[in-house]
Amino acid sequence: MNQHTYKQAIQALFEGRATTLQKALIEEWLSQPSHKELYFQWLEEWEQQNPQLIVDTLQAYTKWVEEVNTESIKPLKSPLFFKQRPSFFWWIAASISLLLLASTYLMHDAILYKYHETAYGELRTLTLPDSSRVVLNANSTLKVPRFGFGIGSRKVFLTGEAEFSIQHLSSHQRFIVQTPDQLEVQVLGTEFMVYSRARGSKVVLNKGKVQLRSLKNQDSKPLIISTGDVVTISTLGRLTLKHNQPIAPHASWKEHRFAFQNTKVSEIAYQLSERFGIQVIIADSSLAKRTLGGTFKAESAEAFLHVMADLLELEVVRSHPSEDSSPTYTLDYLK
Amino acid sequence: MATNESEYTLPEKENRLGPKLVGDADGGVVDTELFIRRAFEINDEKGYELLFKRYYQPLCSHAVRFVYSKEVAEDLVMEVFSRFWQKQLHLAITTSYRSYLFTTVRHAAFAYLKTEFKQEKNLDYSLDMNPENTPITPQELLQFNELYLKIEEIIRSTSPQSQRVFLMSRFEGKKNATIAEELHLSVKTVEGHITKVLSLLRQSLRSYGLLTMAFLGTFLSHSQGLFAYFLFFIEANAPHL
Repeated sequence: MNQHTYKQAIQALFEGRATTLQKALIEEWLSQPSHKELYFQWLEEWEQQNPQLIVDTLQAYTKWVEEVNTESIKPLKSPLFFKQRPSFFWWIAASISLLLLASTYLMHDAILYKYHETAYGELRTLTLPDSSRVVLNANSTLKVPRFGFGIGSRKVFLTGEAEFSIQHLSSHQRFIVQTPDQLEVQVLGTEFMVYSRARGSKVVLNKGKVQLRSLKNQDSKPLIISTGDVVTISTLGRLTLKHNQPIAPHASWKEHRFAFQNTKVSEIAYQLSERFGIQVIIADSSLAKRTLGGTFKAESAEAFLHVMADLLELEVVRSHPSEDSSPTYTLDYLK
Repeated sequence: MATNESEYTLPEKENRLGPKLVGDADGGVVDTELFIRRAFEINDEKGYELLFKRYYQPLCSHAVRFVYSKEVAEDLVMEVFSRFWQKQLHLAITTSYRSYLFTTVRHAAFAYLKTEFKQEKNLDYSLDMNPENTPITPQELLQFNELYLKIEEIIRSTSPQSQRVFLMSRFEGKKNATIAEELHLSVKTVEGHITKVLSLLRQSLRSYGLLTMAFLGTFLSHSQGLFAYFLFFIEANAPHL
């Protein structure tokens, strides 16, 4: 008897047509484990072909999933399925997520922005994704968005001093520089310098046009400046505009130089501290008011101070108040 | 047939989830559960969905042959799936899902009748049965066929009107008053039809049961026989007989 014959006999059995002798044959045949599988395979087939009732399987499945989810029917081992009470694993997962979330929040700036920082005395030239060029002066930071730069707008954040050579894009997309004191400089494509430090901000326009706006006062009208204009903004937000200024003195830092024009010693000392992170103590108030003019090499603070001391017939004394503090130079008249 | 066996039966280790190929005179039956098994390997949830959707209908169809109630059959099959999931049996069973599910549904149907007849509150459908631990004997397979055939035969031997009323009562779970209204009969007539069928079942199964008690052998030895309970159930439900 081949398999087909058995199949017919078993179908007869299901339908109640099997003879006693057929049943005996089937019983013997079923002693093989693989034949039991066939028995059930044919049973399924037979039930599929001769359904005794029609059920809504989809509805039943939905109901079953709900039951399994809501009732206390949980896997006794290896919980893998559907909703369950938060297990140890989930607590750990949740903790990690929370930690990630917290650190993301705390570090979101570092994640969202790329920081370009220069040390004291260091100059650096950067190229932005839109091919614009930025020369960053010493002790400055430029923050550039990692994502979305060039989508909608090109916006960077500057602390310190930098010269921008901005590419004019075919889409006429604006380039925006924002400073910590809420000064916003908008351009389409031009060359300009922005200075923004503790004592205020300054914008120097090499060529073209830029639009300035203080975000502190939303109602303030944007100020449009053109070539040769220099705008200084005090910490109080007062704007001073000067036309037709020579650009060179403002750009001398790019060649590691200082350009002074009747510049007071106190101002020079301040600029030195800004650029080199040193402290300059002027021992005499009358000395602070003396002025200096000319262009000087400014590769190191000490070298410049010695040049200045020679010119003004002063003496420079270097001291280290403590291990960690920055070098301190004291300027005094020759004794 | 026996010579074909070795060619198609895979080694024991490979055979963990049941035969992937079973012997066939035509040269091998492609394992129709392969798809479900693959789904379980990737995602449990998907696996259970496929398993449920594949077998729910035929299992209900089979269960109702024993319990003669649509509602009970569906509940019973769902319960079998719940236990299957609860014990994560997709990882454990060594037979095909099909043979496990059909066997478990049969036992559940039997246990349902048993507990129903005994009016037990604490339902335990003996779903813990694992075909691996308690191999199904060929005898058992045949006995279950005999059982539903006998139940069918008894019901079929009654008058068409009695069958109709009985089905409305048992299968569709309708109240006697509802059946009376629908069939334009008196409630008393409806009760009479149901009583008639139950009475016949009792009589027939008593004589048949007495014969089969011994025949059912090991399976019924611990359960004291289905028919004894069935008769108890009939009497409990029709005390006025």
